[in-house]
Formats: sequence, structure tokens, C-alpha cells
Amino acid sequence: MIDWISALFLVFAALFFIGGSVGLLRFPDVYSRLHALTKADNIGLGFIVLALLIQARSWDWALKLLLVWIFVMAASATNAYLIARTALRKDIPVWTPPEQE
Amino acid sequence: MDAAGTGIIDLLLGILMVLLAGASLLLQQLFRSVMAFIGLGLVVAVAWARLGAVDIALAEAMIGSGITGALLLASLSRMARYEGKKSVDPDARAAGAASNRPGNEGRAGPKGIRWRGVTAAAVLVAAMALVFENVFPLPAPDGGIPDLVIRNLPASGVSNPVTAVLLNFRAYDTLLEIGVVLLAVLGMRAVGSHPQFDRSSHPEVVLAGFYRLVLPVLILFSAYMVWVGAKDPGGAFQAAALLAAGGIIGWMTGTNPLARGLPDTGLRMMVSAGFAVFLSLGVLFWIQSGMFLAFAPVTAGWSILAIEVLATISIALSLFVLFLGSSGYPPSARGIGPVPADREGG
Amino acid sequence: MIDISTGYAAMGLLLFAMGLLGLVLGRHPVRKILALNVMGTGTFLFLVAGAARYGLANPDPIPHAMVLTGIVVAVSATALGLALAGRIHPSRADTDASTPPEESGHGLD
Repeated sequence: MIDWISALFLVFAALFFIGGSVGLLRFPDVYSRLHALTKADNIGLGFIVLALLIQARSWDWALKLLLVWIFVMAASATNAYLIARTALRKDIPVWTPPEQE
Repeated sequence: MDAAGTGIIDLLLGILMVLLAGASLLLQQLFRSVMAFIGLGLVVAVAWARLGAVDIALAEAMIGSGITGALLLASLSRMARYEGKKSVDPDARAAGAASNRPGNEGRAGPKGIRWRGVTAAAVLVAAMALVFENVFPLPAPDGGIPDLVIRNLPASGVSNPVTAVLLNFRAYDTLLEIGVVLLAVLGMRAVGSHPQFDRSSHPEVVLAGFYRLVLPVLILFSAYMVWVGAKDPGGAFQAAALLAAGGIIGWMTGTNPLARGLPDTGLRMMVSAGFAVFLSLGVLFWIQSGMFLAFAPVTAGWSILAIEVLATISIALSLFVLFLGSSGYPPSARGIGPVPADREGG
Repeated sequence: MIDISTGYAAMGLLLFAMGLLGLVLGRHPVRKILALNVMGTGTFLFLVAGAARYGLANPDPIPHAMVLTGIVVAVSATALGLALAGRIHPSRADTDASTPPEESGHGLD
């Protein structure tokens, strides 16, 4: 039973990762791509951690899993900020929707 | 003993590895190649876990993918700065730069160059066919060495077989490995660049905040790695990579005191401490028992711990120095100085 | 399916071959260094695949130790190689007379 719930969470995680990747491929500029990727990947990782949490055999396992998620979130947030800042410095334009005639 | 069979995940990993390796070799823009290579490192780390080599998975993710990736990116960044390419061409980017051509560096040059590629590929395919024919099927396991290791494990002072092999049974290899790292540092100090990033005018607040959060954790994890390497996957090299990563992040925030002016004598002592202590212990054991690096079973555990601690510090510093050496300006570059504060893009 | 040792060993050989090809054909020093690293990864795959020949329950620790050593040596060599490559004035090392620098393809994205 627990395995099924884990599997369900993993499927959700996969969906989020796929969504993030689609965003990476389809969004028009670096800023929106960063946004899609960081958000979706972090939530995806959260679902993976959730799936593993309910399988954890002891409290320290669960704590380590949560720490993994927290640190990855911190790192990827910092990462996204640095990339966006660098892109701004290099004057990469923010995409604006084309005029609708 | 029957070997495990492959599953879907191995097939997927294999396909990913080939694709990423191909991308890292064939992509027209070096930056993308390096990104593909970093990705390859991480996929390969999963492959290590799949093959039951957790120590290596840790090392590959941290050193093979992380530190190597940092080295490559820093070096690319320095080359771009050196050539004066300071901004990305927005049009090329928005148009989905058509420079993603695979093949021999996308060269439509003289015919001679393409023949070189075809010949090289043909020779390689023939050679690989020969290798494949002789290597596969792999020889049947004969039950020899792993049992030898397992049987002598209690006398080694640790209970993680990889650590036992690394730091006791084949300690000589590890001693020389630390020597190689030391040699690289020496070479780096001879030909390497001087990092001239002065970030005090552009304090990197978010990164500094992250650094404050993560450095104590890195130090703690590093100590844990060294300690737990005796019975679980871990060890000195992974710990060193953690510390080196902390140092690199610190350097990027401009707050790492080591980056400003490396205190020469102290640095030299600490970088060589690992090798020196290892060598000294080896000679000590030689005097004691007539054989170089022959750990006595009673004190082996503590000797290994001492060596690992010092090796961690040495290798961490070495990796940091190696990173610095590949990320600064060539000292003899003409007309190149510190990047003006408003142009450096990190 | 096939035995896990054989599968990953074949993958390792494939990566080694690809890396070797890239080493021979690549012009830019950094590209050659990348190719060397890919070759190294292929070699490590082959070694660790061989370590799994007794089954995943008791892997042979000696190739593990060797690969661990190999990874550290590879990063040291890569660092030194990059420093040397940086001294060779990268754009000149990459082009020949017929291709202008813009096409050399080592620019950053």
C-alpha cells in the first residue's frame, strides 16, 4: 500500500520535471525558462522526497531526506538568481509578447 | 553467485550517457559542451550507484561533475574575457542560435579536414570491433580477490572495504595519488593564472547569504564524511571536495580571505601535509615492521584516520588552488587588467 | 536482458571510443580536455562494470579504489591542462588560416 502511494508521488514528480523541461524548451527567454525550471524542479524533488519519506525506516532517514530537499532548494534558488542577474547585466532582453493586430 | 541482469533503467542510463557524451564532444559551442559534460557526470554517478559503487557515485558527483565543471566553466569564462567577448549577442540567442551543428567542429572547410574525420572514425570502429570481440564475453569470475579483501578486512582497521583497500591494502597507490595532486598544484603555481576578481564593489548579497548558510554545513558534512568513511561509503576525497566547493563559493562572494593573498608558507605547509604525513607513517611502519606502509592491525584504524584527516585538508586546499589557477588572467597578458566592476558578469 | 557487467562495460568502451575520436578531431584545447575526460569516464565505467562481476551484493572493492583514485587524478590533470591551455592563447590555438575566429565555435552562449 505504501509502495503505491510512493509510486503515485513519483509519478507526480515526473510530471513536474517534464513540465519544467517543456518550459525550458518552449519559453522565449532566459528569465521565464529559469522560472519554469527552478519552480518545477524543486516541486518535483519535493514529491520525490515525499515518496521516499513515507518509505523511510527511521527518523534520521526522514530528516536527511528533508535536508536534501532544503539544500537543493537553497542552491537552485541561488543559482537561478545568479543566472538571472548575469543575464540582466549582459542586457539579454526580456521577451515581450508581440503586438496583436 | 549470479550477476544481476540489466533493467529498463540501465537502458535509459546508457542512452543518456551516449547522448550526453556525444553532445559534450560535438556541440559547436564550448559552453554547451561543458554543460553536457556536467550532465554526463551526474548521469554516470547514477550509473555508479546502480553498479553498487556508492563511494564512487559520491566522488563522481562532487569531483568529476562538480569540481571539474567549475574548472571548465571558470576557464571558459577567462578565455572569453581575454578575447573581449563580454556580452552575449541577444539576436543570436533569441533566434535559437543555429550554431548547434554536430560534426567535425561544423567545419565546411577544405576537403582534407573532413577526410580526417572519416578516416579517424573508420579506424576507430575497426579497432573497437577488435576490442569488443576479444573482451566480450567477460571472463567468468574466479572468486579470488574480493574474498581476500573480505577475509582481511577485520585486520585493516576499518569496515568499509573500499576504504580498507584505498588506505591500507593499496595504500601505496593512494600515497602516489596524493603525490600527483601535489604535483598538479606545483605545476599550477608555475603556469597558472592569478585570479583578479575584486568583488568588493559588487557585493554578491544572495550568494553571500547562501554561503553563510552552507559553509558550516559543508564543514560538518566534510568531517562526517571522513569519519563515516570507515564503515560506510565516504572518505577523505569526498570530504575534500566538499571543502573545496565551500572555498570556491566563498571566493565567488569575494569574502574568502584565502583568495585575496594566499599566505604562502602556511599554504605550502598545508598542501603538502597530507603527502608528508602519509609518507612519514609509511617510513615509520617500515622501520617498525620491515615493510613500507605495513599498517599494524592494532593501530591501523587510527593511522588511517590521521592520514585521512590530513589528506582531506591538503586535497581540499589543492583543489581550491587548482581552481584559482584556472580561473584568473594569464599573468603576462598585455592590456588586460582587472575587469572594470560594471562589466564583469561572473 | 544482458548481464549488468557486460552492459556497462560495453557502454564504457563506447564512451572511450567516442572520447578518443573527439580527442583526435577536436581543435580547441578545452575540447581536447573534455574528450580526455570522457575517455576517462569510459575507462572508469569499464573498471566498475568489471567490479560487479560477482553480483551487486559483493562488489570487488579494488577497482572501486582504483576508479576513486582515477577521478582525483583526472581532475588534477584537467586543472593543469586548462591552465596550460589558457597560456596557449586560446583563439590562436583554434583557428587555421581558412577560418576566421568567429567560426571557431568556442564562444560562450
